[in-house]
Amino acid sequence: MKRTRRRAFFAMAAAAASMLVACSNVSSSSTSTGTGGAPDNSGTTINIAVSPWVGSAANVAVAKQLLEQKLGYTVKTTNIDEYAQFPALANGDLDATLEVWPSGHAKDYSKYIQGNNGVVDGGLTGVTGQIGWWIPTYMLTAHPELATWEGLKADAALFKTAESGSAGQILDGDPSFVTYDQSIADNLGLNLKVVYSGSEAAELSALDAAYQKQAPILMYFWTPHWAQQKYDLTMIKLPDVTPACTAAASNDVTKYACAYPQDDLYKAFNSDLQTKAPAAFAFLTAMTYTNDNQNGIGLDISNGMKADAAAQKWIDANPTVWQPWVDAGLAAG
Amino acid sequence: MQTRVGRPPRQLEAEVQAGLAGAAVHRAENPWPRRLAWLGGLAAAIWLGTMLFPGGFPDRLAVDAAKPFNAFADWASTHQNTNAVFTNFLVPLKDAVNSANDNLTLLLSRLTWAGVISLAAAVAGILAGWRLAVVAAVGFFLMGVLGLWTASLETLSLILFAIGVTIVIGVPVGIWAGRRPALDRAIRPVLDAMQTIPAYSYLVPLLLLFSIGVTTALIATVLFALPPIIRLTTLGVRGVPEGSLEVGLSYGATSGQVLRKIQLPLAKPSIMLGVNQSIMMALGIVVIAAQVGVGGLGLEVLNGLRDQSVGVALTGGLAIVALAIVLDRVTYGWSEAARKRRGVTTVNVFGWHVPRRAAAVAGVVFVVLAVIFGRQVLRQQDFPGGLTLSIAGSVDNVVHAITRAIGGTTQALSNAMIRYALDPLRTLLEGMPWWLLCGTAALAGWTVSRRWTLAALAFVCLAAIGVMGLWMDAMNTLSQVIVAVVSSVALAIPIGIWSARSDRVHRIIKPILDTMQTLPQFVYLVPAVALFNPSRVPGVIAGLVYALPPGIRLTDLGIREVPAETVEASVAYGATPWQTLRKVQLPLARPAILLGVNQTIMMVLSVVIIAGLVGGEGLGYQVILGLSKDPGLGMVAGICILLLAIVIDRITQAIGVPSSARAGAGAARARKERSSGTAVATADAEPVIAQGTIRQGEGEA
Repeated sequence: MKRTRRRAFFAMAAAAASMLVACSNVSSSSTSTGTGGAPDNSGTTINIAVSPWVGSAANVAVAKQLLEQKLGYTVKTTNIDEYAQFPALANGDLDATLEVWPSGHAKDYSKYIQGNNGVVDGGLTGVTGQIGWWIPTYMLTAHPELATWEGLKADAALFKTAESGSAGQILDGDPSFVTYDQSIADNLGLNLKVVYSGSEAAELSALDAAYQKQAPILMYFWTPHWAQQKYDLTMIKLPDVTPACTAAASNDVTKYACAYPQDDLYKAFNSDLQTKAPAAFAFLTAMTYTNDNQNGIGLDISNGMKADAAAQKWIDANPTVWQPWVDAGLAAG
Repeated sequence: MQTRVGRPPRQLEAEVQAGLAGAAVHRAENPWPRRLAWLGGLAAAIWLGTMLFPGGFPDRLAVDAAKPFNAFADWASTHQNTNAVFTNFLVPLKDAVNSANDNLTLLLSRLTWAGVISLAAAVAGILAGWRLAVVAAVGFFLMGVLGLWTASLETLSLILFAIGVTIVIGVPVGIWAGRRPALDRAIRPVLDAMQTIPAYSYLVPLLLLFSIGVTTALIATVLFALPPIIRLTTLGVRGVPEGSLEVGLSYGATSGQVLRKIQLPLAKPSIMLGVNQSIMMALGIVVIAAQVGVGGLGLEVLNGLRDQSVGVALTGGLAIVALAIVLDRVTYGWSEAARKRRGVTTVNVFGWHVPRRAAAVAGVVFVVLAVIFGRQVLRQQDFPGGLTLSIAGSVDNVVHAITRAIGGTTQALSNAMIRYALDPLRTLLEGMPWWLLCGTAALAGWTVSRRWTLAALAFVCLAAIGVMGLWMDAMNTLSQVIVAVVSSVALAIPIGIWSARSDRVHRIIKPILDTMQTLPQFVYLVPAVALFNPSRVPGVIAGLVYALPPGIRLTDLGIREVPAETVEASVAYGATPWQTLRKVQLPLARPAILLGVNQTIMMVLSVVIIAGLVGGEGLGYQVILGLSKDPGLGMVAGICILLLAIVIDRITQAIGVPSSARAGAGAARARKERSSGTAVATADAEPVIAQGTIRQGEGEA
């Protein structure tokens, strides 16, 4: 008797719970603005990967705002590193990633995109990037030879720290970032040791500390990046990228011995995105903007603005840039 | 992995309780000359070996262990859409779990914030009394005030889901093991290993099978949370007095009836304590979950680490602490209530005793009204922005001020630690021939346990690390662990003694230790990275601070557990307080302190691993690398961490076994039980121990 009553109670509780899940969100005043005229795709969720650097966060925030406001989708973002995202894109756990740096993903490109394993190339973002070894420009006054790697060879000791011991230190970022730094240093005979700071932000705080003291620092860094406007940085010239250099390292990255190639950043989608959400697919494919566009958003984020708010600010100021993307989406959906 | 590595506090207290019985050792002779001779001999052997033989592990004995894993990873990533195992089993399972979890989060958010707070208060009140209803309401409100309402609900639903699965698996296994001693013996080493493995080691293989997202996080959480509930269920079932069983059997009850009507009801408090401890373990893993693409409070902490913002990390950490305190106090209060008021059907509401059923009905009505109020009157699903309070900015300002003020000093300290501690130790360990280091470990294992099995285990496990090609990384990690553990213990024991001798100090540091043990490890890393250069140092510093609580707690507990008569006897014979401490209290507290050291080591190891994210080298860095770039290497590094952890854990646990237990036939079994890491209650221990355990926990709580 007691047991049946308990069972009935649980059944009722379960029924009440499923009713609540089925019923709608509580409407709040803020969501009703800005969606006027947008198609209702809210039943479709687009899951976009956010890689752990500001440029990726900026791209995703812009896409999220526009997909939600102009095309009516529900957008979910997933923070995940740039290598782990590929298998998830392939099986549909992620729908899109909006900033891939090709220099580190030749294998992923051939395996997942060219090999037809669930991922399609989403076209270029319009942003061109360059990874390299950077020093503050003030170092060149005392050591002009640091402009090239040959000069660095003799000056490696300038960058010695307790952690790097007798070698000079080259400061890297997140361990998940694309990097061949230790291989490059070893193959070029440079007495340098890679030390990981852990993140883009940690690199920047190390840079800021060095900058204030005008102290030496050598770091893995890249452009486009808002910090390139705040700090005067010079990229050390490494040996030119040649087909021979990339071919030598194609099977063994420890053979890599030249500069990082220039990166034309691209997008990648799950291959079912086009059928699942044609408007979103067309919109994301059409989405391209410039290094300056991205840096403006990145600077706002680094000054403490939330990514969504920084993207909204950019959207409000640059309708001519994004209107064609939205038009492409509306035409397809 | 974050919070509880090894065993959670209440389980530890149980072990101390059980272990103290045999601890009264009187040493007539001074053991130090012999010990020094031994150490001197060992040092000479190490010096000679290092001079005469090449250091490290020879390449020709190593195999490329990552290769098969990588081959599998490659295969899995390209066949996940086509292979039948994936399409018919793994993917549907993953999708079902993901959507069930999404629905649970959705349900919680649609109750509205007023509804969720009321629900938490009502559940807490019905289970554990009105005081805890207030605690629950305040705790949930705080999560909202911190501005992390949505993230908190995501984490809460993951924890609830994981604990549900943990109970469904853990309780039956625990009961079964409680009724079949053979099974108990068989699964015990497995549980030991599960409590030793850093959670990172689970992630790489799970990622391959279940991709990123909730399912991977959920399975890792369940694996991590299972051991306490299995152990405490087994303990509860076995703790039922023989007499009670006899009574049942003599009245003709079947085995199933005995289980349902006698064993389970009597084991209930212990099982509930297991639920409590499992929840605490599960909460420990939320930051790790963020690394596989799961949102929630863990992601906030991880973002704090990535943005170098102590404020953001601390905000997320405090919300985790608030959730942990609510879940801990409520489930613990529930198990206490079940033990103390067995058969009582009333609930204490503001001093009135209300029938439980009436209270339940009132609670349901209250929650329904709150949900209606939230949805129809307030029309607020999320916690209102006007009530939130952002502490991140001000915390960051304070941290920046501190960094500016003492940054020079900490950087100098950082450099000194590298030059004078980490580097020399690493050089020594890397310079030792592998067989000498493995042999030293084996000798240590034999010396502390007098068992050849432990010696062989130590030798084989360490050598296996070399065979898998990560010898140098393991030595690097080991050097970091040693530096952090020595510093941590050197700080913890004096504080523990101080706290044991002064109730006031004890009262003041207890909530601090509670908070410290619930804050995710990652929160410790952020300020450490800000204050010390990117290097191995932040990990070592964060590790030694993070690992302070068990050392302090168990020193305190061990001294306080010394019988009052013993201390009085010593005082009566005219011993000064210092003599009493040195000659009576500390020797008697030795097993507890050594257990504390053991826990310190395991916790330090866990931080040194995650410090791979911020410039820590060694095995941790290889696992981090494995998560993103090289799954095979990650898996191998995970196994190596496990092997290293097992060796260190078994040897240090064996030191804790009182030497009187080493002699005598009867004690042989006790020793075995102890050194396998589960002295919670041995087969022949009185069930009273279980009760005493819980009462001890109550005194602490």
